[in-house]
Amino acid sequence: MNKLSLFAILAAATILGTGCSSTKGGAGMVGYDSNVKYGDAKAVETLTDAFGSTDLQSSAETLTQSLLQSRYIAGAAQPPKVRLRTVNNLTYEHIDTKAITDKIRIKLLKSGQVRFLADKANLGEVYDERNLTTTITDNKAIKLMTDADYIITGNVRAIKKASDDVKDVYYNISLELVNPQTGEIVWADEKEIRKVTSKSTVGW
Amino acid sequence: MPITKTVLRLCAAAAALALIAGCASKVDIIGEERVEINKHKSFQEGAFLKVMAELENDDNDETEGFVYQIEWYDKNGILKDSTPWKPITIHKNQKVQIVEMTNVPDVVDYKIIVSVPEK
Repeated sequence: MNKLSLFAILAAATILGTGCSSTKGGAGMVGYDSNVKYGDAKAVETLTDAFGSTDLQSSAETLTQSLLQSRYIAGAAQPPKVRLRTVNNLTYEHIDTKAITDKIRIKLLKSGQVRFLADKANLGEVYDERNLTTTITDNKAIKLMTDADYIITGNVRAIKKASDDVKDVYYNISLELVNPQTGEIVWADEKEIRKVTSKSTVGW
Repeated sequence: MPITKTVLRLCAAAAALALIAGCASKVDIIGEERVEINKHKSFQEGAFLKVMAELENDDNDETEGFVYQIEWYDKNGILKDSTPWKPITIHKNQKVQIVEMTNVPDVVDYKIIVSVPEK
């Protein structure tokens, strides 16, 4: 009887012990032991030579810094009103150029130095909203909505070359700040990116 | 009189140490220290803080590829923003100057972080 009690106590202790030791962290997480992990969104990514997140981030960062230093933005008495126009993708790969300009817009808005008007593509939505909320839309109000001090346009270009051992990709992202009334280009800058891929001897 | 001189020297040494410590806290090298940050300084550009740093690869044989990031702090020492990690290559025995400017106002301090991969 005593032995049986001892066994029972031992078994209970083992279960309790196992239970305690198997308690892992991960509260507030679902699938914490899966293969999916969160990474650093700002880390440099070099999985392929295609236009990637690092290129998007560094282009937006550099061009925003340059734009904020332009005297038409930094020296303006009031934050100028800017509208984003198309950035043409002149490369052979699919690049979401709006992602570049959207990122620049977010950074510029956070800086407080620039005001943005709705994109031309979204202007229809804004018109609809105005028609819903106002019965009489006078010309002056429309003028406020449509008159931008500057527009931002640009191009993304790529040059690719490859030899037996090396593949070279060059990206050039250029932006311009244009006064739509005069057509004058008041600021322009570019970001250049070069990516070199060495082909392994085994194959790639 | 000699006591005054000694006190002055001690003060100067303490100030120099504080300066070095202050500079050191603005720089962090992760991984192998195969590159050096020779000097760095900041200045105000309008509403924004601008940082210039000189990085050096003093190795005669190896080109170094690494990444760097700059963290921007407000007057309370709170992290306001950081640049994305940016790749940079310095050829052997070369120096490179990097210039970065914050995009958000009210930044008064910075930290340069350099991450060098293992070879």
